[in-house]
Amino acid sequence: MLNEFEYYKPESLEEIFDILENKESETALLAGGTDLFVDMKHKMRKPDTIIDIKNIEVFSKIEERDQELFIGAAITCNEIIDSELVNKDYKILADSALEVAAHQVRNRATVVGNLCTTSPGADMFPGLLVLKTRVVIESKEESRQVPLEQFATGVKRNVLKDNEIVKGLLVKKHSADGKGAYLKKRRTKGPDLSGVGVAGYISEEEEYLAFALGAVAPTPVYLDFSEIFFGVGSFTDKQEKILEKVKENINPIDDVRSTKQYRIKMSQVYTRRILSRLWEAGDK
Amino acid sequence: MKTINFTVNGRNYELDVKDNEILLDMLREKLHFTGAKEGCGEGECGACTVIMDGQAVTSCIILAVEADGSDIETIEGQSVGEEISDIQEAFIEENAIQCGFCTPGMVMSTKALLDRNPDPSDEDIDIALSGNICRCTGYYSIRNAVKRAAEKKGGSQS
Repeated sequence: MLNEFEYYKPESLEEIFDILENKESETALLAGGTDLFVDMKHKMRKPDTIIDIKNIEVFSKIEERDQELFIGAAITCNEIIDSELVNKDYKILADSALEVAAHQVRNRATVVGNLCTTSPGADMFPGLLVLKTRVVIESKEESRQVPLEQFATGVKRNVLKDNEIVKGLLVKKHSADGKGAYLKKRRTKGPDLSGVGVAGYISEEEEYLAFALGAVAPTPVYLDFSEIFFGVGSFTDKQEKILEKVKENINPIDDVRSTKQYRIKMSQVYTRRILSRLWEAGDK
Repeated sequence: MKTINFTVNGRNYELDVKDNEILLDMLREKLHFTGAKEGCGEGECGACTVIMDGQAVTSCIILAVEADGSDIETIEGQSVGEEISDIQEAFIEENAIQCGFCTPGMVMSTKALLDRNPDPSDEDIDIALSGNICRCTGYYSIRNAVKRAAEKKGGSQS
């Protein structure tokens, strides 16, 4: 049973801002509701106002704009998986979205919602981080863009203010040679929350190599290895340096999904595996 | 309270619902479509699966007001009198049912899959039914039932 609240489904962004500005206590924004209603059933959240954002046209858009992909706030994980645009140039996002929960939930759960819940293990973070993504945030007064690596501020905390809403994401389009991979450790063969999630992305043309790791620190960890990897030295030395840096920059804990030690180990294993997969020829 | 309009299995409904009412509760308690079950209540087990505007969804974590203007299909729409659907027949023929608690959800996920992909691969089936948990029958017979249903519908030539 959910607590009582007022449900609104505004037709315009202005209406949303009006409700956000005039609210007196907790207001929740509703897209898929797959996190919100579970939290409410557990009495972890008790909003007295819920604003359903699914009537706002711009939130349902997924389109390319000047070498960037715009993903509206109401785009679901399954829409990402089925999008030709995504599968052509941003495939790691479709691969990541397929790791979010199960099919029925993905028909409701949104990419932006996954980020806004800001769980340390949220599956959409690593892939979006390695592609370089900006979060488009709006309030009645201003519009700002925050690099995704600055969006999360702690476990289930982010930079969003009470009067702000995420309009969508702008994902950088990389050179045609770019490729990425996302590997996730889970306890079962079926859907599960991430124990460790590692994404890697490489473009030789851009001399860009980055990794991002989820569920190994209070917030997802983004690491740019372009300088190390495209500098001088052998592949083996560079790989060792990268693995060292990964270990230095994560801070995992023991919990129901994994132990700290296992998370450290799997971060190394997945980083190495992705690196060799992306750099097929090995030592060049 | 909000007044909402929607269809269930092709029939129109207009209902007053509370803002905090869950879709599954409305279907079961107000309209007596008790085929969809509440298992986990958190969108993880799939026993509450119904089809909303062509998509399989877990009705235990959707508000009734969100169904305004939508077309909903439930397991009750799969049979007319004694006549059951190809999917239901396939589940019986493959012994893909034991206690039956998860079956309405399994059948609705299967219907949503076959409506958009009449000839699914094993992987397509596993993905489409990944959110439906069965604790007794076993997933191989369920996968076989989905394949058999696809054959009955003329999708698969194998």
